Amino acid sequence: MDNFGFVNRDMAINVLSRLQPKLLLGLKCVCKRWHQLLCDRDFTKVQSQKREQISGFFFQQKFHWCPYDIRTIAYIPAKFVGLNQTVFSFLPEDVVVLASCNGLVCCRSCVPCNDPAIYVCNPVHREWIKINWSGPDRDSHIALAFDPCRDAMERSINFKLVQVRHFEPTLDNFYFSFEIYSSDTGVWRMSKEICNCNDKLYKNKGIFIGGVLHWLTDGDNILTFNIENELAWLIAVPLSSIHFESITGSCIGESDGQLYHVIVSEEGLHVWLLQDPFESKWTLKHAKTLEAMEAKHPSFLYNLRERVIHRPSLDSDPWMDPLAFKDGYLLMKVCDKIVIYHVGTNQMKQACTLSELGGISASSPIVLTYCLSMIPLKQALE
Amino acid sequence: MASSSSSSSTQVKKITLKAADGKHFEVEEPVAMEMETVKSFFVGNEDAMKDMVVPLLNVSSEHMPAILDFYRNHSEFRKRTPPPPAEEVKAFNEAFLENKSDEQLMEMIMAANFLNTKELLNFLTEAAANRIKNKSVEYVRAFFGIENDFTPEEEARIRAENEWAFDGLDED
Repeated sequence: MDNFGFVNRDMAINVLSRLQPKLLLGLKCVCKRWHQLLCDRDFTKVQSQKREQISGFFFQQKFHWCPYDIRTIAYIPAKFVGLNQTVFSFLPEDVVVLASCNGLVCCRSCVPCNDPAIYVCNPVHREWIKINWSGPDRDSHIALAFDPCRDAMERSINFKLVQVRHFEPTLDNFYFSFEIYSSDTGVWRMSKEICNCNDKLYKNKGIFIGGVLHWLTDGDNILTFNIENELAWLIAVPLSSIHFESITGSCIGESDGQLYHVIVSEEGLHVWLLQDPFESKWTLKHAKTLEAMEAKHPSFLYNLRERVIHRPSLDSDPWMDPLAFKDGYLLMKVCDKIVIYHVGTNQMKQACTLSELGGISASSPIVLTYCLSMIPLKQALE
Repeated sequence: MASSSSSSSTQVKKITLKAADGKHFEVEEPVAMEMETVKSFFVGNEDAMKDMVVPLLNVSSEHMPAILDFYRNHSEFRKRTPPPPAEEVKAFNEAFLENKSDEQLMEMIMAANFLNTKELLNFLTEAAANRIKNKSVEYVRAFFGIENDFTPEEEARIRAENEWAFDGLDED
């Protein structure tokens, strides 16, 4: 029996493809046929054409000095309050998250371990692909490039991983190299491209927009790498650090397919939109002074100016730190809390406290934005 | 005499459609041609138009008046210059869906699918999607007339697996 009720399979697809992935996820338990349908490539091909908004953030703490990984990954929903630390329990081992792109998440084995590997998974379907990780390194920067509109093929999906390494052949001459893994070929290969840059990668890693990966650095640059033509480029941040008296906190992120730069300084919270990557031209989309922020959100912010101005160094933990940004939602650490601030509505809510996240180490956590996708990694067995 | 003959020649041609239960509907040609299924019936066979009765095997006569009403209004909306205000189209669409049960909506979706008309089909499936948005699994099952073939254990496991990505639902 088909078990599509009043309609047939095609019409069920037609109706369901109009719903957000988040809602579809709940409908997996309607019946067996629907469960199958919602993981089916026929269906997701129609469905993935829609641009999905942010679902939440993955938050993983990191030891600064100790050579072990922290094994808990917290999922923080963007639009409702809740905290889940078992999202990746379907993977065969404990992992560290590396990158997130259009519904797929890239992780690596926690080290030390016997057989270190990279996993690309879709947590919604609890599906994963294991990839050989040559030369495992705790500080590997691996970014994920996946475009659901272009790369969802009939039988499998295509994605690329890009591993960025920072080299220092001579003093005062640093460069980045790019090693690319393609799911097509299943091999890693070194790109001929290098990018001279003295800054180190920092915070948000490998934000994928329109075929280009973006990495924030601890200097005044954003490193970019075009997946198609394999060209690297540095984009200058909107305002150089010498412009500010304070040590600023910043992050980058994507909204509506465009790159944003969020910065907290003595001048306030500023959100810039990248207009032209080659001219490093930005426009200020949103600005709030520290005083205005404090007046609006007194339960979270107090004595803000003092705290922003007196951050002693880049290595010191800032009191208010923007960590990740997508679709107008900004995840920030404020004192011992994690808050989500919506830039458009000026609303701020507490997501959790650092101690709820394990509270082991507050310094430079890995924070990824995540948007849910029903795209299956593998073709379901017919 | 002359005037009467000219008026009959400019008169809109009518096509007879036969619903699944045998009931006949006389429909103006442009309205009938909104339906790809009817149109394809006459392709390469234009002379047949006059007396042919087009059988619509999967469409119940219960839904024919509403469906034809939709075509008439929407083709008029499309032709009008300047285009009608969005509120007018919205008001018509809302009135169209009012008092339609879920089951009637499903039947009309199957009818629109058979008649092969994108505009009506998109409109109806969008309406169905809106009705099940944020609804519980039980509600959606009842809506589509689907029987649950999971064991309680299987269902509980699937629910638990997806819980992390899931927030509140509307009241059914």
